[in-house]
Amino acid sequence: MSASIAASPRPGGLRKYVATALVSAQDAFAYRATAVVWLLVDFIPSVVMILVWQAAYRTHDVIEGYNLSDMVTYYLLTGIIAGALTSHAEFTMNWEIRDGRLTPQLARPIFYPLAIMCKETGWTATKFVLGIPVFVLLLVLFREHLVVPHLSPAAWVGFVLACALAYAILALIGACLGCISLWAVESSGIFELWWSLGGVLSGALLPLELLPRALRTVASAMPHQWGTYFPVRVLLGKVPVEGIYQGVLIQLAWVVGLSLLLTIVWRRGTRRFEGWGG
Amino acid sequence: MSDTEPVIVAEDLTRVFTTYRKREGLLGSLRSFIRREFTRKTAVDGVSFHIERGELVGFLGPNGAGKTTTLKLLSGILHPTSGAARVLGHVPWRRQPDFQRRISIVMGQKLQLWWDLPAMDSFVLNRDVYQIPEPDFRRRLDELTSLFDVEDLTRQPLRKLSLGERMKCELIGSLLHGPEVVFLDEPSIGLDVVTQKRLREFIGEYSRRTGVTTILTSHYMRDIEELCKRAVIIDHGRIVYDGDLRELIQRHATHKRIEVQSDGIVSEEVCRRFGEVVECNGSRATLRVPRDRVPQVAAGLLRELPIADISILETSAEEVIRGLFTERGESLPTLEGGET
Repeated sequence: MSASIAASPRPGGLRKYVATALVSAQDAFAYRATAVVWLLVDFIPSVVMILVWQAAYRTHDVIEGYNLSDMVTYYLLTGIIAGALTSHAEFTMNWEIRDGRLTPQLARPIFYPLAIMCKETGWTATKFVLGIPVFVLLLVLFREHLVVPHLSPAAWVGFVLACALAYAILALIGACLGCISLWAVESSGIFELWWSLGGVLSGALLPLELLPRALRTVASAMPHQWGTYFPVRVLLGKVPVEGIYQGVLIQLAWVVGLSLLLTIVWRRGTRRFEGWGG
Repeated sequence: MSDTEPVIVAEDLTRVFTTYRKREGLLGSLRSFIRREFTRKTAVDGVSFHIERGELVGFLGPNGAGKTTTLKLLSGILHPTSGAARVLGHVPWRRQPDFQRRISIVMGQKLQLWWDLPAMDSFVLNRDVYQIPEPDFRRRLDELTSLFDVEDLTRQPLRKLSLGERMKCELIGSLLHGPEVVFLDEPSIGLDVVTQKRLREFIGEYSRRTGVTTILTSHYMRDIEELCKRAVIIDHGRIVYDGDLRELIQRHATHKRIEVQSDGIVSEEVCRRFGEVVECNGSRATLRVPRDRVPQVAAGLLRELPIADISILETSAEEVIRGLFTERGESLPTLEGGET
């Protein structure tokens, strides 16, 4: 982690971030209907893609090594894991910076981007828990196409690590994007562009094996695939155990790199921050 | 930090903002899109002062004078363009957690508590953020909620409280960690007169009890007049006065007011013979009279008019400060917050 994140002033310094996540979870419960709607917004593309592929498989049994069951399982797992791992710190930061709410936060003994990531964690966890009935319903609806994963204990451990690091990568990307708002007040268009590209490069739209070679090359240089795509492939049993742990190391490298980037952009951004309004 | 060093030291503090300027209309938007124009505004211009431990200092000045920017610099929210500052021996904008745990800033227009949750949840979060030991947290919470008389309100969602109740909760939240320096930026903005008064009483009482060092900016002159012995007046980012508020009033209060209540109708024409008429309404009149002529004017009024009651009043701080800014061609907010 970055110097600022790691520099907890006293033992128990991380407790404030855990407390932030817990308070945020309570806040999300106050907006439970909104939380479920956001979950559906995140999940609907996966369901749409399942319906599209069902039509395509009427004339084919196997496409690029994927049969219909593989494809349905892939999109359902992608939807569920994305729901559990995707937070949107960038929109919260953008709103708080525009609204002037960041201003007093800068005088508090917290590393604001980390506090926002924890705040989003509280929301994401609550949103995921509230969405469990929806996930169960979808799994029941598509049960005849589901492929049940059979993983070794080592692969399961790798899957858990991959999920934790994927969460950190996605949260850090969100916080880095959020810092753009310190320069460009209205930056939500940039976020939308990033996540639209991310839809392709993270495998949410199509499994990356189905992308043209040029796009696959671009995807391999970007962090997106180490978000949702990697844990999904691990869970589907498409990555051998040694490949899982290599992937975890690459994820770890992304976490370190993004933490450093976040520290730099945050320091530069707050140095020129003008604390608009009041 | 040595015991003799002032708690707050600002030396030649300057902050320049860069603002993007757009020309009016659609054509202006297109031009600005192709070629942006920027202007630089010096919000704080070489500000220097010292504040000793336990002082309660009022910052006064018209909108845009640089009061809030000064507070943001001293609390570490902003970096200065140039100059230096030390608060409790720290450079504020380094934002060291050890420094941040010893200060607090309350901004009347920026809520820091969670809107949809009871204030108590935010207080408990502050306990963890500021690493307040549990016994201290409970003791301070009890003291502050009883001082503010809000024991029952802290369990209700913040959004359901009135503006005044929310501000009380904001103040409590910002004082729970026992800060040594408190920056209060317009804490009474938007509050009704009664709540403003209660807030003033609370700030005064808290300051007396704890000896906390406080800088207060307010649109309401009465806040400063009742709470602060020392005033720093800022205009165009520069300090135009730094000293005792009463002294300033005495130096600039060259007149007194005489209010009369007559048994009959008071003629404005008659009043004009005695001094400047501030108000003349039926049987009541208010005159502005030079201090040295007050005895003669009062005697004259009593002799010539059927006076039922007469009062001689000192010029208020608000009038003095307003006079000061009027001379400089500026406007200062009124007692109740509207612009004059």
